[in-house]
Amino acid sequence: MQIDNSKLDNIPKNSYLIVQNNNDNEDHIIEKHVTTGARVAADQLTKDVFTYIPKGMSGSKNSNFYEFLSIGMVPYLVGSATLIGITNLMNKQFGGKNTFFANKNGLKMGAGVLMYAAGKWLGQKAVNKGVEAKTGIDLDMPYKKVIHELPEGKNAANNEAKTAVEFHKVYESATFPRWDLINKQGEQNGNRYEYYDKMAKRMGYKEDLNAPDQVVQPKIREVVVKSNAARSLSGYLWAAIGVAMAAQDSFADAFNYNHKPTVGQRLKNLPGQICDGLKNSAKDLAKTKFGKGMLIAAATTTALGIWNATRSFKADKPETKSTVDYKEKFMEF
Amino acid sequence: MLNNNFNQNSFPMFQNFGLQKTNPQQDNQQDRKVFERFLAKDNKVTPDTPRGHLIKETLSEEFVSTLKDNAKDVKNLGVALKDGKGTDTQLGRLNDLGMKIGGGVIAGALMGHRATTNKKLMEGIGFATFFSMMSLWPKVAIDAPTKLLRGFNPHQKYQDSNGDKKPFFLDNQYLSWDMWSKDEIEKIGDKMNVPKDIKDRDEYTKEKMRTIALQDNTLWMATAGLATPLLTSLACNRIEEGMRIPLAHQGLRGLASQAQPENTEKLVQEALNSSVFEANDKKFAGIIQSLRNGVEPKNFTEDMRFLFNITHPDIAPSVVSSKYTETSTEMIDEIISNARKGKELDFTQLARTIAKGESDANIAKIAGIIEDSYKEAQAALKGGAPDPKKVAGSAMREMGQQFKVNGQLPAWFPDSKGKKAFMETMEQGIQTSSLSKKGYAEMADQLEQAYKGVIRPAQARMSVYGNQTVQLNNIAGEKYNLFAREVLRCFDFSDDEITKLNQLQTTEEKIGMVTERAAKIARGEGKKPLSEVLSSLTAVRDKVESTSSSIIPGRGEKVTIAGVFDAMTDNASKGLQTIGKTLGMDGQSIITPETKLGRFLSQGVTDADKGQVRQAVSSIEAMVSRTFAMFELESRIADGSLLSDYQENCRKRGIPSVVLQEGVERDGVVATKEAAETSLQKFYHDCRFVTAGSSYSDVMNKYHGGGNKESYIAFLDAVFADSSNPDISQLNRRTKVIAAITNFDPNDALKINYFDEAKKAVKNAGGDEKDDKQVLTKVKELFGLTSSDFQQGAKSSSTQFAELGEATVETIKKQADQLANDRKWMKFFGGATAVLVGATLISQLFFGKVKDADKYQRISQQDTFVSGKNGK
Repeated sequence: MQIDNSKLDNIPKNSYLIVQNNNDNEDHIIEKHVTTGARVAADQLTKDVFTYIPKGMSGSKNSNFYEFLSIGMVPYLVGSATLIGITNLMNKQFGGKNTFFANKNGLKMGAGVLMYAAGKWLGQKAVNKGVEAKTGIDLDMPYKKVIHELPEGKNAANNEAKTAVEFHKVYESATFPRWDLINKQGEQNGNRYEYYDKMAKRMGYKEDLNAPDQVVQPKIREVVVKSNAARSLSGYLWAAIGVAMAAQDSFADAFNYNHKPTVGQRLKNLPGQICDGLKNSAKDLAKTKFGKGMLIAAATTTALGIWNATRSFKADKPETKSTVDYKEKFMEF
Repeated sequence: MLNNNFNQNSFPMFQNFGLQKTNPQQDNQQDRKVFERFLAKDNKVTPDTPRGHLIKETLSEEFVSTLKDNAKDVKNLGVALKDGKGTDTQLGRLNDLGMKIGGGVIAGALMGHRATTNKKLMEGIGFATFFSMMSLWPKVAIDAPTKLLRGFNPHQKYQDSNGDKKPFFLDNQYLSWDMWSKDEIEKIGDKMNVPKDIKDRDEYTKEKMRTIALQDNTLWMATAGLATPLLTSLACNRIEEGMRIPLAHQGLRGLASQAQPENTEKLVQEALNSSVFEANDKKFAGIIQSLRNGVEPKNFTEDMRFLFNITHPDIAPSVVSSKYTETSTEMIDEIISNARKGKELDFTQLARTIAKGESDANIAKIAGIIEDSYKEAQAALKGGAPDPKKVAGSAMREMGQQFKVNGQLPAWFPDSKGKKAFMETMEQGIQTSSLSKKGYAEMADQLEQAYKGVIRPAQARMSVYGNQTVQLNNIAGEKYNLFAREVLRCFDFSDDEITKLNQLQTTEEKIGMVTERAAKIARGEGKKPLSEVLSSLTAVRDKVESTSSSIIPGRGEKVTIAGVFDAMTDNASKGLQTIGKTLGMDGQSIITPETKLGRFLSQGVTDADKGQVRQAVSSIEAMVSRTFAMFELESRIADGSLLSDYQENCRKRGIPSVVLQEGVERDGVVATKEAAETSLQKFYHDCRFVTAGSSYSDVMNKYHGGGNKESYIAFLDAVFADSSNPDISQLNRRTKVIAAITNFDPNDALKINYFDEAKKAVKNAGGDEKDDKQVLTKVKELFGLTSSDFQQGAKSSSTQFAELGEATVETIKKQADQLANDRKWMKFFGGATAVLVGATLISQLFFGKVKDADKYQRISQQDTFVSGKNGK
């Protein structure tokens, strides 16, 4: 493939991900590591604050839907911080016993906010991992999108344009998954259908299909939609469990000190305290009928969600392969 | 524009040769259509007619379609899960649906976690408010101003050809402008003052709209994180404040219905099936099993003390007076010792085992030694099974001493080598011989019978009663808080003073600040005259009477806190008495009517045990009354009558006054002016400690010290004497009567009703119920009590006053703390909210500057084509 070196210079260097250079000026699937998700989130968050919000506030025509969705993370984070702040910021001023009780409530609220986020993440991740284990479809498969922006304002005068980088997921849209990128990746490896062949094998076809993309694509789309729906339920149920656990007295009690601890002591004991708090509050939660019900409901929803998303992924009919007998003479009916 | 969501039907050629056939009949029709078109040479590919349109709904229509959309979401969820079909928009809405379901579950979980209905309800309201504020904030702070200033709604919704509803400006780079009419755009242009001499005026207007909508959306995202929690907490603060009393009334009515005997019976049955009883039953079964096996289990006495306690905190929260907690241990120990009584003690058998071949006399002696050691150890433990090792040890020492003849031990007594084995035999023997196996089995039967027949039913009743009192306490507490706030208001503290009061720590400082204000009011130097303050206090007191009850809707029946409490107590008491009556009837031998527990049960809930709740009830009134007493004292300090009364009392009783007089010699020292003034201030200080602070110990030491009772009486009589000011004296007489009555007889500690009954009688007889003299006469007539009777009870009226409710300064201080903390909180977060709202509104004034505006050409005279009807 011919690389346009002049375009390469326009690519921002502040990206958190290093990818192959020959792909850098167009959309492409990127390799996934353990930390990829976290680095993408960090990239988005930094850009939210320093790029996307200023860009949106100035009314730029280059502001797009991705940027809008990305700054959707901001109210979550700011809101969590505000909730924690509301219950904690003023506590010292109350004095005496009031401070003690306010602190206890504040701790519960703060922990509730964090455990909500943790629960939601866990519940959604569980569905994705389960689906991947059963079908091989990585619903989080990331790709890098390169956007050559329209000239605008000062740049317009010089006919200059910026190039922006975004991080998407191949299956983030159920209506339009980025099949083209999958094809392109295959092409670069010498087989356009590489991915579909692999998937067809996972589906149970023993031999290569003539047009695996036509067989695999609708199946993947179905899995994407079903797991999307399962994620919506599973994530928020686990989030609810997180909040309910944080609300247990035993959770807040795990962080108690008989004396005023030093910062070093606090840091040293924190992991142990978190483990104790989680363990005890889960036990306490399981003691109540509602709590038990919640735990069972969440676990069942996740398991059923995975089962449902993957149940029709397997090849549904015996494999057939059309064969042409070239030795036969052409016959006209 | 091509419709984005194309329909396969518009591509008949593809459809015709499609691989998948779902409905043969439909396909036949399709085929025919296609064939006809083919014949007519009309088989060209055409786009669908777009069906997208802007949604313009009134508020009520919007509400209905919100409901419909939510129902549609549920349906779409089903389709997505079953068939794996759905558009991105639908899937996005499913996420919101999940969030709502999760929110509901959280509210449910937290509700279950809260103890009171009030707090449970607040959890639910909290979540509803949070979600409302989330959608309200952009509507009020962003959409409304934009609509007002620019003439359009930046959250205008539209429905696409696929039927999905989306905000029009959701995607800044995908705006289907063809859904807007030219007229609408022009109107908005006019509103935004778009110059009329621009060539592409409509395009310019649209660009301006796009810019504003994008800026609005960004502003929304930037502010929502701050605004939603802030507004929610501000709103919930208000809501909770407003709901407290209605909810307390609601709770009171609920308790009134619970207190009906038949409903109480149902609750008792439910309590017996609760998890607490399950756990206890299991533990008890273990003990019984062990006893039947002839082994006394570990911690037998401790476990039985817990299981047989009919009021331990797991069972009956907060209902037990401390007096009862102490006696409950005695009651249970009595039951256990009764169960042990008469069981054969088989120490002789043990003696035979260890001293084989000894004479009967010696065997009896050895058995006696072991039994003595056992009883000694048991006595040291105050009952229960002693450690066999210790008993064996001390018995062996004793045997060693008693059987030693000329330094020689008998043959059966082991040498140093065999000691260990011998000890073990003894230990085992003691373990099984203290009570024979048969005896243990009998004991198990008796304990089981007692547990099932007496203890469990009694525990269930106490459990119901305990839970009810906790609820009633909470209700009374809400009322108390409400009125305490009003009492605080009577003092007219400024915001700064409230803050200062909040910072005070010592009792000395608190009493100083509160009484200083009371003194100022009494001297007529306050913001309001004394009479006005007194009348507002009277108003509070009247309100206590009128709001301590609630009308049951429909039935018109009036329920009061005291009434509900009496009904609850009656039920519990009768229930216990019923159990008490059956004692000893069915061969029950370990709990007879003569045992301590038997006596307790047949007595029911004693009046002493009722005190706790009644105190919460009566202390609302006591709080107001105490404040009266404080003002009375201050007005007597102001007019000098307090001092003269005290001097008079001292003179009568022939004791020296603590207040020195200038120039008069005392103990060989002539008092200076300063010393006299200091002693007077100290005296006032002591008086204030009694009325405002209820702090008696210092005063006791000072005046009662050295056994000088006269001095203390002279002091207290002066403090509680009537004021010469008829207004306050008359008001306060009632305080004193109530203080006295409430404490006169502990059995009737709850009956402020003496006074109320008398009042009713006075009213029925056509008298003036507000005239205290008439009421007091009636009290004497009805109950045979005179006001002097009240004051000559077990304790003096002044001491009893101290025990009634909470010290006035404490009430004031608590309320001031609450108020100051609320204000601090409100100042900080209310201020933050105000700043946020201001910044959000003001920043919108600067929105809408179109970039590259210079590219839009102005109309010149050479132009022949002009866009827009206003262009000239």
